[in-house]
Amino acid sequence: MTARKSKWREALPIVALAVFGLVWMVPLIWTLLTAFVPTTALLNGGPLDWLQNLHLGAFAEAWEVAPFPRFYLNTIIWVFGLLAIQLVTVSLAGFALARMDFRGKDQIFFLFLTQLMVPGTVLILPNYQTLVRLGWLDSYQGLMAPYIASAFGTFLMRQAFKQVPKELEEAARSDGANWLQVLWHVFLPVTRAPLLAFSIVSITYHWNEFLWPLLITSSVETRPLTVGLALLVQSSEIGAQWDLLGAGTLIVAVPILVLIALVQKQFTNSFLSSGIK
Amino acid sequence: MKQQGSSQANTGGRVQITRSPSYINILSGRGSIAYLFLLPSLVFLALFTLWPIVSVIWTSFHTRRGRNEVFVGLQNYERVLSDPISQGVIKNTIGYVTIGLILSVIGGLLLAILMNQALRNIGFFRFPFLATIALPMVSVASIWLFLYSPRVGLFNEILGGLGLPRSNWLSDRELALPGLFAVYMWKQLGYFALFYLAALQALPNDVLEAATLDGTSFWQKLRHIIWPLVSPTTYFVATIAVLNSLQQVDHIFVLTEGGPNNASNLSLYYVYQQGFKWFKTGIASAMTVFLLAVLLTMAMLQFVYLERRVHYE
Repeated sequence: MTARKSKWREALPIVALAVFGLVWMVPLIWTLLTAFVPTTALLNGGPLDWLQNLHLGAFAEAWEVAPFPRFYLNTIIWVFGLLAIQLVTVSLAGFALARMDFRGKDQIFFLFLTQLMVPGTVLILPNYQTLVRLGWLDSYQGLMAPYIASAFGTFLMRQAFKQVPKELEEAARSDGANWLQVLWHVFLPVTRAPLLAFSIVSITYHWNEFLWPLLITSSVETRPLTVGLALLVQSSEIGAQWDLLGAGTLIVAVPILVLIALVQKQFTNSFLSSGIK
Repeated sequence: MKQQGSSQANTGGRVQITRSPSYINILSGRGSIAYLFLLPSLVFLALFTLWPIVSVIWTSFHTRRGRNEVFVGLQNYERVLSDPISQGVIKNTIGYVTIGLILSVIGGLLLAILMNQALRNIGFFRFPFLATIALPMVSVASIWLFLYSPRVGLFNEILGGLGLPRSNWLSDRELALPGLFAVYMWKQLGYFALFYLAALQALPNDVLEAATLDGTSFWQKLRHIIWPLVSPTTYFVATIAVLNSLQQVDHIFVLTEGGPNNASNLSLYYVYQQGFKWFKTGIASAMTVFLLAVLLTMAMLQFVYLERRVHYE
């Protein structure tokens, strides 16, 4: 085998990955073009015309056509509000399952397991009916309700709490701390990594969620970004305002792309932990 | 709730407990405080995971006549199984899930092997596949609208440029469902690759190096060394792939709405249509119960597999 040939063979995998990655980026690049280049120039001109005609007008227009600032606010309220509640519920439940003895523990463990087997999306119909009965349609608490108990988070925290040495707990207990104080002062400070992992998974999942918010929100004051974008797509498809639609798509997608670029490593680790079953 | 006396006896005389007033005993006793900690989760678990399972089974045996729910036995199930539209939906779903399963495993593993290279800037090369995972499906679907659109779509631009006839992609009976599937794979392949990547990185280095030195070809290495070693991950990825593809519905809303003529309709979208557009809760519930049955079977298979692993490892 010649030296040149073996060098080529060594480079092959990375070239393959680069080419594949580039192909993977094509949809995103094309969306960028539709947003920044007026549709007529995009369809009738070549790349040179595209560059000459770059404009930001579609973004300004999209920002005005749909109440994106309000949608942003709604998404932030429901996603982070839910996360705050979840951090409490999963810490408490995970702690009880990891560190306490009580009757019916196995049965309760199994109840949590059910949620891992049956994803909430499948139960939209009965859960919608429950919300109607509670009078929680078109409200933030309605958006959050099905996710307040999180089996994934509970099991993740249970796993983490189990690894905390017993001596730490006993030291705090003999100082007269109650369970809540032990949890707060001893356990939570040393389990920041799993808490962060859970937070990243929860935020991405709910930031992106569509079907449940579509069903239960009906006003500008509660609708999240995803539903807002889908409505924009449906309305502008008819008018064929492609640059507007491209801009709307990017307005929703860009913050997440930036976030991924910044915390890629933490992000991948968190998603791997979502595989813990 | 344990009484003071018995708890003292059980712990062999921890005297300090008996000295505190009884309400503190409640807060420090191991049993009752656990229920308090679990209560918030259990309430919502009961309301939004357990109750809906019971309720959807109940409604699947009923139909609405005026204001009343009338018991109709298995009629809803018979309808779902005999109606050509729902038959088509079930067929679509089985195809979507099966092909999804195969491509997730094979594509995920191959991509992971490509991503698993010792390179200083490997993060840069991995980015395209990770970015799509985190994007909302709604955004992903509207991004793909720019590829499929008959007028401004990139695919038709390319076809036109090559002098080939343009296609109507998503309005084509044959292409609509594969079109949705491509969107799903573009978004999720990186997710499946991540699990394989973690598995590959946990493999002992010397095994792979020894194989390379032996002059084994890539395919031999893949078949006889990597594939058996990552088999637990394959099982896991397969499970996740089925769960994932069964829940895909957002792109249908944006791209096809199940059309043309239900050619791209999948079971969960069908539940939405029946339940929320046409208010046929009985039919929608019956289809939901089918979905639940599939999920339950999968969960049991997983238990069996885990049991076996515990026994043999």
